[in-house]
Amino acid sequence: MENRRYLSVDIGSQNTRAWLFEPREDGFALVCSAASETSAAVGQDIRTGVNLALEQLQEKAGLRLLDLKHKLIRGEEGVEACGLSLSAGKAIRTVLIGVSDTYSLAALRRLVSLFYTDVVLEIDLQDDLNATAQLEKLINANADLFVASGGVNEGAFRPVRAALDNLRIVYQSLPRLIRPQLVYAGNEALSEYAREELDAGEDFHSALNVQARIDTESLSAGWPAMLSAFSRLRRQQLTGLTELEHEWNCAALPSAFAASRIVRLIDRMNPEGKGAMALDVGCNSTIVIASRGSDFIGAISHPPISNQIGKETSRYATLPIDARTAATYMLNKKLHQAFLPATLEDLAVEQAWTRVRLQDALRRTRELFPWFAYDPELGLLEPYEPVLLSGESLVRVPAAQQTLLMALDGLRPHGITTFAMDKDQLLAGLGSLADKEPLLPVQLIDSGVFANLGTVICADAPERAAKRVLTLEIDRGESARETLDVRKGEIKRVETTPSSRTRIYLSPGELTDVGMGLPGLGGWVTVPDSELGTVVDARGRPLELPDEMNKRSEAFYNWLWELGG
Amino acid sequence: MATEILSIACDQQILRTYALPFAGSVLVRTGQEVAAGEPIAEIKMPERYQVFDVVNGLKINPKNIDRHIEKLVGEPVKAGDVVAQKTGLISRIFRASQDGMVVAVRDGRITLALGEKKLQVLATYPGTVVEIIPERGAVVAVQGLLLQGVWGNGLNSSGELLILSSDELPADKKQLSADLQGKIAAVQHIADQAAFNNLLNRKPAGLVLGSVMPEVLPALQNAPLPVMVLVGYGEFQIDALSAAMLKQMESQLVYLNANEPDPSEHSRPDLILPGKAQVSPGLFHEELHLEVGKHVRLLGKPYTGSTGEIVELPEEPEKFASGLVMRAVVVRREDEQIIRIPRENVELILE
Repeated sequence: MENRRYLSVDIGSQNTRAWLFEPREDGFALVCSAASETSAAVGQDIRTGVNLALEQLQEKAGLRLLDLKHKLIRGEEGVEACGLSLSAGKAIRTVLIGVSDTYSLAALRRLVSLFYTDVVLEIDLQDDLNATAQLEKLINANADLFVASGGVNEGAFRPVRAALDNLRIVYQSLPRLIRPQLVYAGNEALSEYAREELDAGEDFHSALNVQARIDTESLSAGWPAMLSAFSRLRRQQLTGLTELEHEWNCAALPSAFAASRIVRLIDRMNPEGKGAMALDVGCNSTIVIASRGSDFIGAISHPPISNQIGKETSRYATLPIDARTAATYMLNKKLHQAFLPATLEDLAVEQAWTRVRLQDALRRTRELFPWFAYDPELGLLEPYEPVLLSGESLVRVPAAQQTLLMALDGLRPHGITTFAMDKDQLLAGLGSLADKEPLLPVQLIDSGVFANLGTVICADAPERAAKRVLTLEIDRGESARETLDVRKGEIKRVETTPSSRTRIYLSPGELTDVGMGLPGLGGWVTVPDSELGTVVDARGRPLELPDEMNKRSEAFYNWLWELGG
Repeated sequence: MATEILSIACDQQILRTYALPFAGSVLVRTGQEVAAGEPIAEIKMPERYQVFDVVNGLKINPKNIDRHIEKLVGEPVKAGDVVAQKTGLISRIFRASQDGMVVAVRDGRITLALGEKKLQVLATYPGTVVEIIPERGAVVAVQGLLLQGVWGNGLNSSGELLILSSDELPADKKQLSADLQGKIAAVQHIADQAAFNNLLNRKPAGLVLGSVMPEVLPALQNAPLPVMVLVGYGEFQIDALSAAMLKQMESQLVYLNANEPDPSEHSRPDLILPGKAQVSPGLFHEELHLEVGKHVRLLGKPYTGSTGEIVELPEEPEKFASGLVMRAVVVRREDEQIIRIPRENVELILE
């Protein structure tokens, strides 16, 4: 067997994770993974945390990966190629400049949404902002990144040229220690003018027009320029990154962007499918990525904390917890981000907050991508399959059924879908290796590196509570078939067995929609073996929770009990 | 997992970096003694910018614009100087309204940088400059008492430290006067907005609060004076070590730097009582890790705000009441109670 080991490292805000892959007889496999604290989180060289993770990795793998000078051993004896992804570092202060709010600014918001940006200023060139006021605003924004688009190709260019004049003054006049990066992703006729006018050398990044025509949008046209700007900024901000990239011969990708590669890949691997989705809830951010054919959605949201979020969190707590207790927990967690729930009460708040964070992230994603079929009340209206769950808050959980219930409450899907779990938190790690060895992520996904959590059938019926809404006929290939009635408000679980294929016939009530096209329409569903089996969620949409706190927590307790305790 | 380090130290070398975000001029030299409020580095920047549309402003033919512009890029201008003009029967003139410089002439528009403002970084406590950061600033050191907190509103000030007990926090507004003027007041707990407003009405120079209820946070953020929280949100006692440190600092001139916490910049809010000892330049902290014998402050209910000594660091992860499996630290609290707590849920105290 040829020795071609691949290493991937993801430097997160709290943890640095490393994975080692190698080819086996049936394709690439994960040898082992390791994690250490991110040294940049405490102001140190990022290589300190990376080396600690690699030391653990070589110990686990029983291989030498580092030489005596702590340099990575390359080639036959060591590692063939490396991938590097990055979510550590402060949010990138970003200014967007576009010729209209509806078109170019909206497209730019979507373009920057996977790059850990914080949009601090938007300049709409159709506003009646005079040039002096525009310049003052640009200077006062103290931004790391300016992203300008200049309308459709061959479109109007005078306001864009004026804005570029101002941008040049901002770039050339301010003796900023972190040099700001300038991305131009607009009217291609002005691209060369922008390069010459801004005179920013390698700090200028030209992209193809993300909106070459009024009715089209191609975010991918802007990605190379955004990646280049991201790299140059992070190299200035994070000690040791330049040296690490140089030594490993790779450029660090934003972790969310790297993860999005895998979501797009899963979607492409199943061209007749419903599209793929990933939800990643970490301590600093919640990431929503969805891909279906050419339709791509991706956004990062930050954990919201407010009185309203405290109330919402209290509503989703599996123990009777008031809004003030929830808000107190969230604020203290913001102060101590590495904090982990040791008590049942803390766990209940943490998991309730995860549900609310998911809902908030989906709502924000909908704001950015208005065609994303999510309704804050009704949940995710169009199915994606699979839905991949990742991130500390969803993965570092005592039991898989808790993860599934958090995802169900956060997402509130319709119809039939499959949930998978990224237990090794591999999404970004695989994504950053995808261009080094394209076979690697494909073979890893095929090998089942993402655990199948369960198939979920959502039965939505406008019926009163406890009325039968669905009957299941379960065929395990054995002698007798089982039947199971599901009532409105219930969650039911059907276990699957690895040895036999399970087929389930869905016989919905007249008004019950199980995602087969029409209410009342049922049919056979074949379900693969999975950790939790098949879960029927008949709680309906919108999700109706009891008003009284104790009754609500009892309802959550019962649902969790149905899922396995 | 990154262990949080919390300084509650009696004879600590306190080092603080004061640096500009831009390349500017450093105003101090190594070994120099600086006072609180003294500038360390500065940069002069234009106070404002002005963009003038020459073509439309002077109503001229764009082809002839060069004839009408009197100043070139980079050229300084004085207030009243003619920058561009159209002569003739009805002349039109664009004059500089302030001293400044022409920074751009493009597409028929002139951009002026006008006036001058200084951006300075100021020392927040007295000390000795131990390191110069070229073009940006310096590191200032002082030996003294240091008490760090968990949250600050970004402001700083100094004053005599006064510790207020709960019966010195009258609920009745009528009893209040500006009796805390010029003082830094330390208070065990703030339960609500009214209690906080009452404190503000007594005009302290700064506030050190043990714990606060979450609903008071917006008022803390908007307070016109520095506010530091020592333990966290909720109703918690100030831990014994912090309380003892406050007692040592009481009635003395202290410096409150209510920095917003930022672990990546080693920045926490703190209260400093500078000592008389000489600083030892070049002496930096050893790397700190969880070790048996070290003191920690505990996080998470029901232990928040209590401190203790590490007695054991089990290698094997263990299962906690939440069901999560985590590596533990075993701590003997001041009340001799032995607590097992996840390693993530402690702050290591630098004494």
